[in-house]
Amino acid sequence: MKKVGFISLGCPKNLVDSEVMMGLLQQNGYTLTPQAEEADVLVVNTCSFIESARQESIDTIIEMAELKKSGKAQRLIVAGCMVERYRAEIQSEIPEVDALVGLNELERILGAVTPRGSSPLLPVLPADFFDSTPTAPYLYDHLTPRLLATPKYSAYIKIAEGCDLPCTFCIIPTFRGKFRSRRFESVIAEAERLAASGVREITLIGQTTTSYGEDLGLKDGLAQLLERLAAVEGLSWVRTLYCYPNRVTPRLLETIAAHPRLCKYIDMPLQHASAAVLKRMKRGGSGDIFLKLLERIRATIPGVSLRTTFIVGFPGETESDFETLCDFVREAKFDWLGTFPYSDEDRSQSHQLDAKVPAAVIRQRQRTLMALQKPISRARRRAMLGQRLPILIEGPATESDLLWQGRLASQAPDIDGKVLLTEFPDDQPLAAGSFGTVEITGAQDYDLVGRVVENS
Amino acid sequence: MVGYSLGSFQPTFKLPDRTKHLHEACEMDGRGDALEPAFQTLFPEPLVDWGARITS
Repeated sequence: MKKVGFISLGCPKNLVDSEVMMGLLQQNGYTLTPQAEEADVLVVNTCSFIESARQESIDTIIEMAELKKSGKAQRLIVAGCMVERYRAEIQSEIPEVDALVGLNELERILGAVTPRGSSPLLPVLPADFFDSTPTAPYLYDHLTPRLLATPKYSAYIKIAEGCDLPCTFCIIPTFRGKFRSRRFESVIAEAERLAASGVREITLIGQTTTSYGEDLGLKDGLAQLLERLAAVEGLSWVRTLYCYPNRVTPRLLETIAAHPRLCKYIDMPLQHASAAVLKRMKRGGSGDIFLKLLERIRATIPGVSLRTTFIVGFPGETESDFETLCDFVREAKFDWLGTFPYSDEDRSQSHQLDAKVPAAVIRQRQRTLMALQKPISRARRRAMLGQRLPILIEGPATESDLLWQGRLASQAPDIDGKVLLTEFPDDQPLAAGSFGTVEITGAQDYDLVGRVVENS
Repeated sequence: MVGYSLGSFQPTFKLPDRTKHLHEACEMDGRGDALEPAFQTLFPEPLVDWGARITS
């Protein structure tokens, strides 16, 4: 049977798509290999939501196309966002590509790997496919096979697909279609199956998780879902990413506060704090409104860890707007903060806006904002010195086998910092994927140092 | 460090490391900044005093 090499680029949502495709391949008898040189078929699952991601995708496709010429691989398949956006261009510009699998065609990966009939290429969907389709068709469920690419103790669950929000900078809805939630019981069933297989930490994802259930007629759907997930036997930590600020309801906060298994963690991309910029982004809100929301979150969930992201250099962002953002960041004191330099995507509404900010100014503003956050992050980390906290022990540190690493409930996988572990009780052997208690002995701007005082 | 078990560490399928670019576009500066302090905890005395060697 053919060996398939898989490269997955982009965010956790794309990773889940890769896991679904790999699951389908494995279920149908294919062998998967992380070594591209060994593969008979190469699959690149692409990301194209901003310029840098697009460039990385193109570079990877070209690199794999070279491997097809010089190596063992006989077929090259491109999947993901790039296919939706540049289907015709990929076909015409990179003839080494044998098949394309769009976001709503994941199940067709099988036909792409081993084509039937004479045509090696999957049919090209019309350019207006998504515009003319009110609800894009594909969303996996608990019966769909998934081959997890995350450590065995941790998994993502995609609870919804698509997005109906009108953010002018974002082109993802044009790829992923209108918002649709997975069935409530399907999510629970998947969580139970994952827990039974040894997963201890679940991270819920979607374009906007706080919209979960709206299309199913559920009120406070995410809060209801979290409440049920908190009762799934075997799970220790459940967290959710990608909250939209005006959908963070009191019930959601109360639910997170009430259940020990729900991580006291809110990831809420705010994108900006200037009302004028937020209006041009078609998001609404302002720094003052967000500060009141943060106050409510912190009052309802004591000790909550807050993560956000901002876009700097959005068209029309003035020096004054940027100062407003800086003032907001100083006051808000986020635990984790990331910035995206504005990427002018030609299919986005914001592409049509005037007053574009020069690239050099965007870069400078990004540096300024990150420098401003640094002492805030340091202070947040240093406040943890001496504390004893639950920790998920992950295994040897990425940087050195002499150390182990773990994460606190306030540290989401991949995106936040970690705790480097230097010491363990002599009588308690370590086990990766287990939980323990760590005493924080060192704190930097990003990562922490600690010693395990108890390992369950 | 004492005994350890890697039983539940590895993923069912490990994707190539290049997958891990996920959030580099927006991540906060400083990833990995606790490595040196962690080593200082493990090895309070420098194994080799490179600075002294250079200046002597």
